[in-house]
Formats: sequence, C-alpha cells, structure tokens
Amino acid sequence: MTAVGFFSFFSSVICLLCAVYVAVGRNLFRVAIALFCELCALASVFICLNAEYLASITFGAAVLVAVAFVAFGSFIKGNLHSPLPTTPKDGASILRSVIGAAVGIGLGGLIGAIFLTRGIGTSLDTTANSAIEVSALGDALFLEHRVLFVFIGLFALILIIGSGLLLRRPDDAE
Amino acid sequence: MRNEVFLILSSILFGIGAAAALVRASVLSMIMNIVTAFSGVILAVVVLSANSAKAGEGQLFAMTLVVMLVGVMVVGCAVAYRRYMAAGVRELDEKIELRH
Repeated sequence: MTAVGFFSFFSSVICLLCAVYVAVGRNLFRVAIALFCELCALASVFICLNAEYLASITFGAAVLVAVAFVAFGSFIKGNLHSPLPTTPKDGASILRSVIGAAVGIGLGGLIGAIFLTRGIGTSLDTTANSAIEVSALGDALFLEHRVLFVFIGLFALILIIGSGLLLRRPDDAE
Repeated sequence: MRNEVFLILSSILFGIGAAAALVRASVLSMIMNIVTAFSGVILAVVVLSANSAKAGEGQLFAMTLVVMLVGVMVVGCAVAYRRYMAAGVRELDEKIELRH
C-alpha cells in the first residue's frame, strides 16, 4: 500500500467513525467537534482525489459549522460562560483527551507535510489523467459558468436575509 | 479500487446521515446529520468526476453543494433558535407555531 493509499484509508476511517458519533452522540458540543473532525477528514479525502482547492473550502466550512453549532448550542442552553460541560478529570478522560489531540495533530501534520512536499495544485497520484490547477478552476468558474457563480452569490444573500428575519424578536417586527 | 472505496464511504455517510436525521428528535442533531448526508453526496460528486475530462466542473458543482450545505445549516440553526426563543422548545415532536 502506498503512502497516499494509507492516508486515504486512514482519512476514510476517521470520517466514518466521526459520522457515527455525530449520529449517536448525546453531548451537543462533542458532537459538534466530531462533525468538525468528520469534515476535516473529508477534506483529506478530497486531497487524495486531486481536489486541493475544494479541500481548503471544505476545511473552511468545517470551522464555520463547528463554531455555529457550538454558539447556537450555547445560546439554546443559555450558558455562554461555560459551553463545555464540567466533569471531574480522571485517568480515562485524560487518556481520551491525549489520544484525540494526538490524532488531530497527526492528521494536521500529515496534511501539512503533503502540502509542503507536493505543493498546492500538483497531482498526488501520478497515474491520474489530469492535475486540476486553481487557474483552470478560475477560468471555468468565471468564463464558462458565470450564471452558476451569480446564482451562488444570490443564494447566499437570500440565506443571510432570511436568517436575519428569522432571528429578530417579536417587538422588533413592529 | 480507491474510487470504489470512496463511493462506498459516500453511500455509508449518506445512509447514516439520512437515517439519523429521521430518527433524532432534537433540531440541532437533525441539522448535523443532514450535514453528514450532504457531505456524502459531495464526496460522491467529486469521486465520479475525479478521473474524467470534466473534473474541474465536477469540483465546481461540489463547491456549489458546499455553499448550499452551509446555507441549510445556517437557516436550520436560525429556525431552531427561533423555536427555542418562542417557547423553549428543542424537540421537533412538540407542536409549535413559528409565528409570534
């Protein structure tokens, strides 16, 4: 098994485990962290598929998703000062924290090492048909699919306005 | 072989996300599982376009899906917050009107 194959298999396993925890977890904040890890693992899989630009966008979306769910969870629980549940530290919880930190740092280090050794925009798999470059994506987006780009912007604008209308209080509507 | 594994992963992600979104009663949990299902669809789009001549357009379509994913999440969180502020409701089973 090559290094890229091992990396893709490892990322897939992490993605699947985190997805299962998101489905069955009870603690909202841990589930939000698991969702963040799942999307980061998905970004690693995109790197293996020569979609580095999409991987960076997915990583940004992962940060946004995690922050949004932690913030909304805090708002709904009404406890902004201590969003994480306070539990007594024992050996098992410390071991879990160490393992989680090691996996996160290891995965982040792997992604960083790939970017440093290969560079953004170059193909990881030498047998692939083509290497997607950012300039080619930009040409496709702005020259061939202008309507799609405008639609995405309008869609995001409508979402922002709609979310603001949903979040206003009753006395603000008068 | 790797592409087949990724397609299987995307189908499993979609199945887990869809099933959990239907089963869980909490609004935020439902939104999180919809995000999981969406990520499976995005992975399938990227895998199917990876080795084709139109790989760039497949990634553009996937970027569109990512934007829609974030949008669905934002609106869902806003609706959940609105329900909670209206009557302190966190579950979908309880009947409540969104109008104030």
